Amino acid sequence: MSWLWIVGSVFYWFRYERHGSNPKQPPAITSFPRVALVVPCFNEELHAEETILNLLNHEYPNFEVIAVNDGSKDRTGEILDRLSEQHPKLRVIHQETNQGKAVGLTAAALLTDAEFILAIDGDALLDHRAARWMIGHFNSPRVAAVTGNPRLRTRSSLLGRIQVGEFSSIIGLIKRAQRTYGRLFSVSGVCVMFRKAALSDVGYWSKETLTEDIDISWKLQIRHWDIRFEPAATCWILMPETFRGLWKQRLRWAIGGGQAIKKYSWIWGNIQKRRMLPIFVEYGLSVIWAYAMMFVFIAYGLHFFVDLPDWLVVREIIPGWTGVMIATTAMIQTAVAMCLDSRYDHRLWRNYFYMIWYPLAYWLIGMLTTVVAFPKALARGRNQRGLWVSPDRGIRIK
Amino acid sequence: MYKKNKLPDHIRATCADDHPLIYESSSNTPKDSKVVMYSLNVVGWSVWIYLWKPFATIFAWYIGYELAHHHLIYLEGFSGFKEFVTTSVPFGVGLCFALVLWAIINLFRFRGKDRRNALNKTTAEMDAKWTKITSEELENARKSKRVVCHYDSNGNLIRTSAD
Repeated sequence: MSWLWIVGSVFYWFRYERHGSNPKQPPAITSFPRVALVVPCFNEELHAEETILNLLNHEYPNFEVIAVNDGSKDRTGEILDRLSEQHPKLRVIHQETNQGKAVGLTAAALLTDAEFILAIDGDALLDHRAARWMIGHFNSPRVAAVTGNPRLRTRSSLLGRIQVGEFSSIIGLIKRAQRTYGRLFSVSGVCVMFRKAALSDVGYWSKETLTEDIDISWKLQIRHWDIRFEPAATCWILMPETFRGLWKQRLRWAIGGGQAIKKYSWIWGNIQKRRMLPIFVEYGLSVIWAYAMMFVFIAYGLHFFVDLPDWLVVREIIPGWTGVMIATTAMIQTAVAMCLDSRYDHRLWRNYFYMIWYPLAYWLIGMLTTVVAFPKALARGRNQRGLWVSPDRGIRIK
Repeated sequence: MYKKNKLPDHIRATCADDHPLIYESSSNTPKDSKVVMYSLNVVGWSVWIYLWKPFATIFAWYIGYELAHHHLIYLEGFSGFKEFVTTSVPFGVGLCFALVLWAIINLFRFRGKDRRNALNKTTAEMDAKWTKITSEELENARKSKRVVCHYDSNGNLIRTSAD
């Protein structure tokens, strides 16, 4: 899969990105349809003001900012009300009780007459020209959404630095390769612009999913809408830098992925949805990989205590040539990804040397979260609401 | 600001004011002097390492040769690599080729075609259908700077009130 992502990304670079997404040459756009910059906030008293004030500096002539206070228990509502009094472009929606991000986004989309919705997270800093970069894609009537390029702010610890590499080499590279194929598994919910008419066509966001971005991506593409990737539309985000926070976040992502696979498994019986099948298979292979790895570890541990049949025995856990090739491929993948992403980031390459730990640390986390999450996703009730609390936001200087 | 040195007991001297006995903070040095200092250091060490290179490389070659011979020839490690290349690489190359071919075919097949009719902007009447409020209430809510939304137990919007 890694080589597929590398080749697909390089193709994408040469075909779309090299000239079309040069950050030093923003696109010249002649029409400025109204864009609603939507930020759902749940207990964001520490970040809401910074996020909103950054949005209000957006370099686009026709926008409004809609902040959704999703039943916060802290001072988020108070902060948003104060800011709305000071800034005419800011509107605030208070949800009486916590309803989840999907409901918050839907409310904001219904309560605006803007033609396009650009949604970010409550602690994210959107690049001032993101809307300019994304809006041009919607000249094609087939495009329903454009996903941006999330970049990490929290780079103090080893976990943080590895995530910098991960966001380029996994999230960025996979999106490019999937765009080369023509379908994405998911937009990045932290930075994505939607055509409101497309959202209406598919019934807006689903309330029951833990990852509303994965679900809306599938809803749109199954209705033959296109989703594109714009690497120059960056959004600076905070990610957890503790194991506990990382585990919570990745578990939620894995459950969300499992929910999507379960909810959309019906596409196997519908020839018109065949273009989504490779994306389904790609995710399915990652689930199979996770369980296979878990089985190998268990078999290795058991062989010390129990006499296992020959075909089950795993005597060596330290990989040989296969491990060398996999690790080398991972480093090559990261290098290619950083080459492509370096023009959108700052001092990206200094994080490359920490990626040597990525196969060990993050593949283990990915494996464990998938093994734990998949049964949870299968067992989750169809109408169980998708509510969660954000994990830690990394180490920052106060 | 200078940091006072922590000196061993056998060095006893009194300094004026709060100054340390030894000044060794690099922040005191002008930038151009620091550049010259570090550059000279690099040059000096480079020359020194270059002079030792023949001995270092003989040693490194010996270790490298012994290691490679042991793993690749004696332990037949090369056969594992050969097996990997002959089984996995053709499969991977085939997948990559298929992806690029698919992308090129689609590029030419759909060049200049939108493949979808443009949809009109949604109206308040259309949007209200996703809620349990009327289009008038939705229009009014859109004009308000602060709105409170009320939901039923299934997450459906049932009422709005201007704050």
